[in-house]
Amino acid sequence: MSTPRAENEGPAGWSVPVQVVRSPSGIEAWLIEDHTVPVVSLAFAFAGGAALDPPGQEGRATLLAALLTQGAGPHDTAAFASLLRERGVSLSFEAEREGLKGSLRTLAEEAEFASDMLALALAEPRFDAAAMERAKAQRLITLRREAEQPPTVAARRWWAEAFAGHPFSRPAGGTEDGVTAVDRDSLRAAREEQMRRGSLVVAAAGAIDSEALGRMIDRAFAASLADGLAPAVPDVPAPRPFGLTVVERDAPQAAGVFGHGAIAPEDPAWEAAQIANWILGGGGFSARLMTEIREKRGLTYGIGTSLLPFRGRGLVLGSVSTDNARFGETLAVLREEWRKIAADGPTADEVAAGKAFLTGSFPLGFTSTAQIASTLVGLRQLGRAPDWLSGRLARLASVTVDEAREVARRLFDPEALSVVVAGRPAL
Amino acid sequence: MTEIDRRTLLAGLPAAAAALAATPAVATARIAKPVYGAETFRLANGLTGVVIPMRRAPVVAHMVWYRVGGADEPAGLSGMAHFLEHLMFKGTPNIGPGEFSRRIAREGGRDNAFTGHDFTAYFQQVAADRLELVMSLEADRMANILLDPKDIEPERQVILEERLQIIENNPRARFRERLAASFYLNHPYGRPIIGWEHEIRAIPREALLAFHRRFYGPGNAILVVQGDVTTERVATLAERTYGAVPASTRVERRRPQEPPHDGERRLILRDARVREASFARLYPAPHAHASIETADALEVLSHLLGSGPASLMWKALVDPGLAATVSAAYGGDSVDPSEFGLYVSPRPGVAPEKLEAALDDLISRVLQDGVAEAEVARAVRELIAQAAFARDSLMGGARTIGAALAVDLPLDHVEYWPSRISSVTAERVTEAARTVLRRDASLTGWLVPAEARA
Repeated sequence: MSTPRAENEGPAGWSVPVQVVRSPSGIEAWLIEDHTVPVVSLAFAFAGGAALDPPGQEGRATLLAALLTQGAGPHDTAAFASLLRERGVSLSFEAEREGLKGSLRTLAEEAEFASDMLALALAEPRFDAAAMERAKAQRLITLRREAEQPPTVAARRWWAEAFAGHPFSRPAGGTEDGVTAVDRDSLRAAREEQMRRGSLVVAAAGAIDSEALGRMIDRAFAASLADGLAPAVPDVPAPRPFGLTVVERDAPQAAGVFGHGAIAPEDPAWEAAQIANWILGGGGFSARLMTEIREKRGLTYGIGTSLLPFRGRGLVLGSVSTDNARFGETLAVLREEWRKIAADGPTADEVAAGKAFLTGSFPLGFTSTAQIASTLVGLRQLGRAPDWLSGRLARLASVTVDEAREVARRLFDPEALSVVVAGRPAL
Repeated sequence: MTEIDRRTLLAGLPAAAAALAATPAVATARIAKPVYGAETFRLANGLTGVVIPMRRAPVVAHMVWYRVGGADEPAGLSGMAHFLEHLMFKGTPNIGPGEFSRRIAREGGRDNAFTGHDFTAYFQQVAADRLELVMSLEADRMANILLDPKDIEPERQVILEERLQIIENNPRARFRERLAASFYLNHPYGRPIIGWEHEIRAIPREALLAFHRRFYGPGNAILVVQGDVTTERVATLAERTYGAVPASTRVERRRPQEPPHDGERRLILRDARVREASFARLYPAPHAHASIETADALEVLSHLLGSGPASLMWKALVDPGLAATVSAAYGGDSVDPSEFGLYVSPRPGVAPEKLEAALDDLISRVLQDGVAEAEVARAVRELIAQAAFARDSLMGGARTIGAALAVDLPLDHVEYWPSRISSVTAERVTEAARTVLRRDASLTGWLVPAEARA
């Protein structure tokens, strides 16, 4: 067996060179060029997303995202889909809490055709009455199915409690009433408001050089979008701590969602916070929560936490499911682990393990063009600089044990830990 | 058939559909070429090795597939293959319980495992220079599993929680489980991979050990490595690591087979948690081992019936406002024959009998008139257009090839899939439809709100 990877060792001789490309019409895109496979993936996002849904029309952005690929220009839903599928082009849109994201994947030889189809979807979506009715019905069914599942019920309530009064309190996928209220005019308004050239960020990966990408981007975006910016979304407030909320549900197993505010992605300690989160809950079978709650006690199939980045605001959020009768024990261990890491911080060995994982696994995030393009666009949504990726290994490697302890104290707050449980938990 | 993951539920696609999702090439010249260009080797102790070169990043995906799954369990011990998969992470004389995954993470890698009815697979994704390490760890637990009783009982609780989470707490998953149990009259494909609760509680250590002894040998395993590495290097490392495991032979898999399905059957599952109904129709279907021609035709049939807005089910059910979503699924890459399924979510307020009548009407027309050449050509173009993307991921190829070899299909079955699919004709699809879509052998399932009738 080889020796364990040293904590400051990145993969030797490997880097992710991000090219900053400017199209002839002036649209900027980030590119990681790679000709291993003759495939190009484009990822893009418009600022706004579900946060721009007007009160009473929750789900508007999600319906817009669905309808953009359900017919455009001269092509109805079936014709549009067949044209793409027969030439191997995938195009999809998705509304998130603060952005409307899109992704396009194509063979390099079909890049021009794919760009033209994207331009058509952006510029001339049909919003046919039948397609609208169908999309609304599909959305209502999805919402009702989600309501069958305790983890979704708990997550929705968590955001509603933590962000009362801000658009983040509402589910990105909408509500039954909101979806029912959306009509063709509101979708047109959503498109008009949100899909603006000034609010667009673009990234690409795969078998394309910077010049060809510039042409591709202009074909897709230069004439299909109005100038200007989407309306600003109110700053994301600090989530309100709310203690414990139980949503009564008949279910054999209770589902919990837990978390609180965290340091922002702009904070210099962001990488140290990634390490601290990996140690407590983000590191799968290496994490303290998994070890204590699953491995030692058999209380759950899985427990984990994530550090979620929004502009100017971070969140640490986790989930767990346990048999109703044993949920109280899960919660007690969870609170105790939260308290311990905040008070004592991680050990030097844990910090070394976290750094070794986060640096060593870095290239695993760069193995498919769609994944690479999506990563790049996510960084642009956060306002990162193009060299953020190339500096990441060095930043992770430079985190000291003291810094990791310090950030654990800032990151984990047992007093603020706020929990929603859906089920009939014995507490 | 679904497969379940050590950590999370994977998409419940049949093996063939999963292969498709990853897979094709548009130009005719490309269709004739192998999809992955994989190479194989064999060790003296029986281990089969497959290597898929991919040089995008200095990483590899390392998988070991065992030719054993939920359908190989003795009656009364459902869930044992999956239970053993969990316990493979509990240590050997050389590595402590839970240390396996921690060690991989410490090396900057990710690892997991999953179980299907026909196979159990373990995998790691690591930097290419860590390949030998993961191979030696995997070879160690192939040969030296401990199964300490003090590790088994907490893991049994974990699996009972897993069952609650992925089945009992999810009405649609519970419906699919009960549907399969009703569909199969005799074959163990009707058993849930995770096992029935009372049987999970009863699986004894001795049975787990015997199961490992019987099925976890190099002669019953397939090693698949995809990534930044050569076949020569993998073969050398495999010799050094797996080569030390004592030889074993391939295990012959003989399971109880299905009798003819005579008589139309119906399952109505009422659930108080459910507000919107789900519909499913299952038909017994031959697999690729029985007839590769029929299996390919069924794959095209499933695509043209249920995939996308141009499909026949969409036109017959979604366009007139009866259904919100439709799909069809067929998995012919299996050890034994399985099923051809049609799935529909009705639009809110649509009467079940109205939807079912429209579907039956569509099927009657397909059987009577046959499928149109244009429909088949469209489906074939759509299917093979995906082949060019098959290599655009780290583990897609390893997964597709491993799943085929683990059910004893040859490598060429995957490599030349596009050229076979492109040769499927309307006559063959019509004939396959007439063979399989027989109402008097089918099971119709409805998941409905507790107070509703179907």
